[in-house]
Amino acid sequence: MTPLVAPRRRTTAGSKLPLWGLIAGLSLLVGYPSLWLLLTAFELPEQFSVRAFTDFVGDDSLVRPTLNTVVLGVLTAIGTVLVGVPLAWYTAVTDGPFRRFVHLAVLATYITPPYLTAIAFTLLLSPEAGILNVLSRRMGGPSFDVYSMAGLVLVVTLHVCSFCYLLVHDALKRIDAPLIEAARTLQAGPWQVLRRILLPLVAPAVTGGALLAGILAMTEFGPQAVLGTPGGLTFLPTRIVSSLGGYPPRWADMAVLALILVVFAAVGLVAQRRALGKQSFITVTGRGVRPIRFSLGRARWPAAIAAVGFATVATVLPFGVLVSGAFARDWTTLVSPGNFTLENFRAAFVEDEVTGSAVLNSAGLAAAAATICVVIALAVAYFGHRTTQRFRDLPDYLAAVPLGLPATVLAFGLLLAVTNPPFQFLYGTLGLLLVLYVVRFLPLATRTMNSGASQLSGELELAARITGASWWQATRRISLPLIWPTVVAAWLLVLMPASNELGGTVVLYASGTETISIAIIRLNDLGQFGPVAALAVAVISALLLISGLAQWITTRRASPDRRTR
Amino acid sequence: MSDVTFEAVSKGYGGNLVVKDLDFTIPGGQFTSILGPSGCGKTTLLRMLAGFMTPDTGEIRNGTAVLSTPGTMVPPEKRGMGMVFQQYAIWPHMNVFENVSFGLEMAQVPRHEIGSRVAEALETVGLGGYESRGSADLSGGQQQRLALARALVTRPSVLLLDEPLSNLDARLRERMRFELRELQQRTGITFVYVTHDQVEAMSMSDTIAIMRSGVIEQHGAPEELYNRPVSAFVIDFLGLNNWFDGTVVGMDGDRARVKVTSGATVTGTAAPGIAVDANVRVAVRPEDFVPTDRPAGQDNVLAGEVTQSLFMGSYLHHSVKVPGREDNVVVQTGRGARVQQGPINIWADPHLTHVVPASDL
Ligand SMILES: Nc1ncnc2c1ncn2[C@@H]1O[C@H](COP(=O)(O)OP(=O)(O)OP(=O)(O)O)[C@@H](O)[C@H]1O
Ligand SMILES: [Mg+2]
Repeated sequence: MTPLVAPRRRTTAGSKLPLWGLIAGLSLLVGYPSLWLLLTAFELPEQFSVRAFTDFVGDDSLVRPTLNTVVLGVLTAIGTVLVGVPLAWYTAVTDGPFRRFVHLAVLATYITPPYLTAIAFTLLLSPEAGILNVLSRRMGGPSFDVYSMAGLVLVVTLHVCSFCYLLVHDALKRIDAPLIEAARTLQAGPWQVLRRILLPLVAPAVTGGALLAGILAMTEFGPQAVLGTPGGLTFLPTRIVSSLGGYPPRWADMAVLALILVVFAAVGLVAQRRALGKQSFITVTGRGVRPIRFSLGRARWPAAIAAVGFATVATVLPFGVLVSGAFARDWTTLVSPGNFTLENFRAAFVEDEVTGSAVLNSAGLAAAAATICVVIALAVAYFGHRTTQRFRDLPDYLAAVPLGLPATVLAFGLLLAVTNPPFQFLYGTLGLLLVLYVVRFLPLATRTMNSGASQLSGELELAARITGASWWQATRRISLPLIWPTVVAAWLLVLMPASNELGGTVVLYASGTETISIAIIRLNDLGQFGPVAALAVAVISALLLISGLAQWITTRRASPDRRTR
Repeated sequence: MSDVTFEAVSKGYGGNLVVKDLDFTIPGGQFTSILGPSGCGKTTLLRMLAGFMTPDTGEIRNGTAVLSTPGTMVPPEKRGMGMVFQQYAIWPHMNVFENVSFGLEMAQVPRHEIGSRVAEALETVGLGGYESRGSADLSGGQQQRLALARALVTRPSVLLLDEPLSNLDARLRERMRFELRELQQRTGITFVYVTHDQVEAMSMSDTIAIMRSGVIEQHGAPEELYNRPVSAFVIDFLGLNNWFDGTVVGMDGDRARVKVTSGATVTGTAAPGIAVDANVRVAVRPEDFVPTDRPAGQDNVLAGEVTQSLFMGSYLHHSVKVPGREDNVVVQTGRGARVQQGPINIWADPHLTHVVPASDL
């Protein structure tokens, strides 16, 4: 049986085109806004000047936000370590009770968008009417001002500690018990085991988690706006946003601030990669590891109370106060049969003229952004894993660049880009927000898709080819069905944050393109806390639902009977 | 069945040549093994044959039909070949039946025929009745059989196997060797079998091609490779050996007389290209040395001292210290041989003594 078909001529130029198209498209998406930031900082293209850089030092309205940002980052990094490491230790290697509950609660803290966490804490701890402050004063105690650096550090720490927690938790879980037992047999006491064996093994995870928390604290606009601005504290993201409406527009100065923030984020990310790269010496096989287990002894219950107490403060309290505020006639008192109402939901969804279209905008934008991100990520993964061309990994690197571009900075770059030709037609449109979300959340999609694709052996597709399937048949019958769960998971992973983006949206929205996050912040600024709580509850419920769905899909994907061999 | 021919085929990854100007003919209807160390280019060779890769230069033909040149390619699905992958590449989202029927669907075999063809293929590999099993529930050996059934069901003219047994345990591997050999003889399909296990290759193949960093070093029947190796590499690859360095002092037909560095003189079978005064290496397999009464000083006789004897089950392993030589000479004898600690003379038959160029390894 010799083949009857004539050999097909290969078109070499044609096969290179898609890759270069992808590279060009990604370069435009990530490069063009960054280019405008740089140009603007030097007052190009009108003139070339370094005035904005030299003026920076003497201008307190620029230096102060920078210093505040650094302080917030450092304090939050320290805070996350203080909170995350003991919690990770408790759930990963001790025999304390309720470990599962604590674990889930810590992970849940990240689902709530940070601006909503901040709003929840204003309901709890605003100096005059905050429920906890009122309660404390009634019992003769002090009150705590959440509109302060301390309040901000508290709230942001609660929001981002899950990263540090998770990294340390995994590192501890991967330590093989014989490592400790070997030290024990050499007469090392518990303290020496901790200091000489355990700490060095988890140090990279701790450092990595702290750095990530610091970066997030510095770049996250929501809490800074909700808690910092009323307290007279400005940070780099809030300073950039507040200057947008001002006159004269200080574009160059703001571009410099944006670049400073980029440097902070980029340096932090590189340091974080470094730190986590050092983890390679830990047993990473996963299989065959017998995790260590410490008996807490008499400290069992005190430790449990502390851990469960934290989990409650971090999740139950903020969500509870939002639920209460959503259904109560007066948010300053807890909901009860006497003051139960659905009025807040009516006010939020029916009366408010923005919310309705905002919900539609957010849903549409998030779905569109998730779809585009997933399609791009599929292409990136295809080239990276299935082709042997030169530069096949370049799209993956390009897609990771936005990790170093904080949302507010990216949006500011986009704003500069579309106020200049040739992209002015995007100004003030939903299309512009779509671009923002796609660029911002692309790394999430590519990371998920890459990990999915790397589990799929290329031989599965080749096996189909050699048994007579064309490229398209092999893709449709073999590769697509196998990658599909990953596609859905990636789509949901982008959908969640994209439906609640605030830090970049606030720069680019216009009348008619408001999103749900903008609607909530607007109502919050108007002091309409009841409707705000109602919207927050709706948003968080939707997010919990989606994340449950994503969880279900990913665990199903990871279950052994679905895996390739 | 027609022969498959590689003509001057080269392939590199980013300037690094892994198949180098290769000329190679795979005889049709036979079992051919490609044997070589890890990284020598075996998989690359097989993938070019399957049509997953384009050669940088040269031409691959099946009979007279051109399969691949740098500019033209018959796509894999049009080559009428089958392939069994090292990791089996069983499609996890399909059950056993669907895995096998896929190729028939692609070939647009009529529906009513598919069922019986699948059953027949599964029967052939001993998986009859497993049709509705989930493919992920199969054991390693069963997956291997399924991969084989999937490759055979379309009745390919050439079956490519890339180390298909390397993931199986030793007993199963041995059984599968016999089954594969039997299957090849029954079907008459051209088998191209890639492995780095010389025992596997020896026991199954009609011919073996020994591959070394991108070129075929020697291609022939197993006995030919064993008895007439062309290079130190081939000898080394086929098993443990005693090596002696030396210089050729005389030639007689394909017999070379070599003075080895320890002072003794050895006569052996010379590889092509050996001439007087050439620097050579002489190899004798442990089982080809026998204890002898011949006096030291005669050709091919070494005098030494047994320093250690190990019982290895079916044979005995002796270390013999020979004066003027650093490494002990290794000698293998049957269980019945009476070898005692102390002085001994050993002798190797010139037929089984191989003389190859020294420049080689
Ligand atoms: N896609 C690739 N890109 C770059 N180099 C490659 C690629 N695939 C293989 N190589 C290199 O080409 C050489 C030959 O590879 P090949 O897979 O053909 O070896 P092999 O003989 O099959 O080895 P093994 O017995 O380990 O399977 C190796 O050095 C390998 O590192
Ligand atoms: Mg290989």
